[in-house]
Amino acid sequence: MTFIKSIQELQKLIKNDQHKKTLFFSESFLKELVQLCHYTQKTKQKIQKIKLKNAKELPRIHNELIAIKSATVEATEKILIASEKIETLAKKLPKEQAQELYRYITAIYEACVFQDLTDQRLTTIGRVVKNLDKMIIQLAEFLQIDSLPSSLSDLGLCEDNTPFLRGPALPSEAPKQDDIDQIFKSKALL
Amino acid sequence: MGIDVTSTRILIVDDYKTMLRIIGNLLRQLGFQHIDEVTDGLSALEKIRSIKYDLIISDWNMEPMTGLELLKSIRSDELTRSLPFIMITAESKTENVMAARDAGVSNYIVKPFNAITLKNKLSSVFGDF
Repeated sequence: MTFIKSIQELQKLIKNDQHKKTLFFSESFLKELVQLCHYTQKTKQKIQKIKLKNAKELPRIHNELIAIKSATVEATEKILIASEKIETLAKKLPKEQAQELYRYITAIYEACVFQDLTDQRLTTIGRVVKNLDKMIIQLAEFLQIDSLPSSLSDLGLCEDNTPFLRGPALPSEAPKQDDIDQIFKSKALL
Repeated sequence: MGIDVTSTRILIVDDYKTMLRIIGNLLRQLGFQHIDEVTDGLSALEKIRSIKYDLIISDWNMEPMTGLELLKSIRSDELTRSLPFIMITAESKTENVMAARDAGVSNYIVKPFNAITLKNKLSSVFGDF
């Protein structure tokens, strides 16, 4: 028997009670209890929604963070290779010109430290997001939410529509320029 | 005048290869020629046991051995107790700096840093060059 049904049964029993004072206080108490019950049910549904959404979004967040890390490593590598080549070529120049170039190259090396810091910040973000998800799951377990409907539509809740503008695709999903050109050409023929 | 930079041996320890490259390039710009690089503390200890370095430059956040643990390990060995050690790290809280100082770090550089800061800290260890 569910908790709400138990309350309803209790209400019936109390209604049959002859003492009006007991009846009054009991009914008020039971009303509050039923409201609390509904509120708890709604809270559980909200937590379930968050849990389902996280399960869908977290892998994407993880992949996006990895994509950012890879992109910054790759870009920094290219910048350093080019700078080192310029530094080598600078040695062939007259001293004054070489010194000036070395100053700019040093500035590039200093700026490239950003990659290390970006990486560390991304790791922190990843850790925080993972911990948040863990807390949601623990809360769901504590509230025994697994007995609730397991999809957003079962809950009567709408999924977020995928926005039209989604930003850069993940490297594994990103189409090449040739693919885009093909799409472009095919539309042009219509 | 201080050290002869052309014969000074430096070991850089950082788990980010980009940082190894940047620090190495900046050191070479200053004239240092003998620069070794490793990506973790355990490899650093192995190298230190076989090569006489004049300076260790290390990151802090590394696994399995942090830069602080590497420093403590170096300071606890009689043979390497006074080996100069500069920490270059993103860790900037007072307690971090104090912990490194108490563990015997020679100097502490916070990322991001510039070439002038690096040179100044090297001068604090080697004297002007």
